[in-house]
Amino acid sequence: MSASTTLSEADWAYLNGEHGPGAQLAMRVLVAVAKSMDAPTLVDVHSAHVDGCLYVGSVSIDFVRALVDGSARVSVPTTLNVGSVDLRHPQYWNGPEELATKARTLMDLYAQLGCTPTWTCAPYLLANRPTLGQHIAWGESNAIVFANSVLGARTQRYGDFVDIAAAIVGRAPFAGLHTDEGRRGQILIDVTALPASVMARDAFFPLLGHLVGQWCGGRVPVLRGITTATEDQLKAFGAATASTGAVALFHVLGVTPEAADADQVFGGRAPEQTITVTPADLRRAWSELSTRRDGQLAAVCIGTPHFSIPEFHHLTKLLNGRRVQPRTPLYVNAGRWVYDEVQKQGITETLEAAGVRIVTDTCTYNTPILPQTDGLVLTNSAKWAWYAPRNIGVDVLFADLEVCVESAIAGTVIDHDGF
Amino acid sequence: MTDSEPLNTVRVLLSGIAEGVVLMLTEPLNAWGGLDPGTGTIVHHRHPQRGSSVAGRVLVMPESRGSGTNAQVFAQAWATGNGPAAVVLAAADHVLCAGAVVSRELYGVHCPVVVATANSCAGLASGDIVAVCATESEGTLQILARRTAPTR
Repeated sequence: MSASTTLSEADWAYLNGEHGPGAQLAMRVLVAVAKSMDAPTLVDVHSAHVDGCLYVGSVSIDFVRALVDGSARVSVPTTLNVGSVDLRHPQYWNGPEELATKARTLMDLYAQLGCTPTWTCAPYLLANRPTLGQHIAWGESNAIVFANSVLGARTQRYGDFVDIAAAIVGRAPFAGLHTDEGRRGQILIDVTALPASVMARDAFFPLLGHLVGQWCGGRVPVLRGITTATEDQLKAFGAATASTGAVALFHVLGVTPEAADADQVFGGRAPEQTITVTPADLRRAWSELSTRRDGQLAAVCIGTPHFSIPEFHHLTKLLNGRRVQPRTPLYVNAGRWVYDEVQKQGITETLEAAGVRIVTDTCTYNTPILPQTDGLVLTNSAKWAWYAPRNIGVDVLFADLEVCVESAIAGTVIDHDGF
Repeated sequence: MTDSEPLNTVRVLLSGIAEGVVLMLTEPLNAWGGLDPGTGTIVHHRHPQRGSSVAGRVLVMPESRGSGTNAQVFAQAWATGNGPAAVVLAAADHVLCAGAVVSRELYGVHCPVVVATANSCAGLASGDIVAVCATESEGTLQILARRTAPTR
């Protein structure tokens, strides 16, 4: 059994209830989690991102109500993850009214704690994102892996409850990915043997992420053989690793900020394991991400994690003025800040006129939005493909973005090669 | 029942005392989309223990994986009385711990969460009856009864 966490005087003040019962509850949760992490101390955080806004059940409301009733307020800038309802587009809701009411109640309670109502799973697309070396307390698995890996900020894989607790007391357990030692690479993933044509495929990054999550669990992978990657590609990769695995940090040699060379990233040690990726591995991932190969297309879902501005531009280009078949709607999930930015550029108007349904504040894979769930849903997101079959009971077919868009226009799954 | 089973020392993540039937997961469980908190049943379409219930069981698992929403899913299972009686992990999982702490704070559910070495779990199988005893300072795991007599 480890020594317990040493608390500062200010931490004790929270624990003793000097900031009210809500903040006291927050500190009690944080200290228990710090002990489970073997954290020697707590550390100040610059920001928090809270992933508790998704309505799971009565506990979702019970917990945040205890904080609100106990007069708690966040003490650092805090953004909010997706909720269960699209507050701006209630017409897309296809679930029971009772659930929508509870979901709105939960979202409202979080806002009452002083959080900014951003309602996005991609807070790294917002202004004022965290910088290299900053300690933060983020929830939402894809946001965590992006903040650690692409921005070089430092957060553990905080689950629901802990993220808001950290936001209230402005502290986090100094353990794991907050420390230099915790950020060392562990598994070398070598893609140098893959043909360039394979790596140029749109689906390459999410497929690779699906595999890396399976191989690494919660360990830190280091990718060798990728020379450039866009933030959108790293976003898709990271989201996939955090779905099949618990990856919270990856390094890409020569690309991500803490991976200048192998010596730096492995801390002078040898990798625990080296995995050479083959095209056969990627084909396996492709097939695992689909629950069914054929059938009537019901819908096309993209934007998981939430669409970025460049992704909106790319989609507009792929559509090229054509319309989506109304019986096979194309859904795009986006944060309201990104929505507002592309709206200024006239893009939302163009897309909505083409029949595209842009969902904000939530995501099509976790809440009843799709009008029809007995057909086949196409997606280019490994994360969507991983979660949606159970969450909303659909059959899913994974494909490149271009196949998704062309199929939405054709109203049927177009002929396409697998991987 | 046998008296010869050893008392294994485990690392305590959350204290509590529980006795129950083991449900051994052969793969990590992503509870969000993988566990129905209203019944405690594992529902992920690809999980090898799909259809088994964690309710009242001593849940033995490699680790949970994936979403931070797992904390809420487990807490909801505890809130409705469908959570495990104890959790035995192969590696520390603070997401699961957060769910367990909140259940303790809000509902008074004291589910011990411990980390056992591969050695302590060797030979443990679904259906065995075990006792988990975890205080702030030390924890033990003991097999009280085997589901079936060892075959060799």
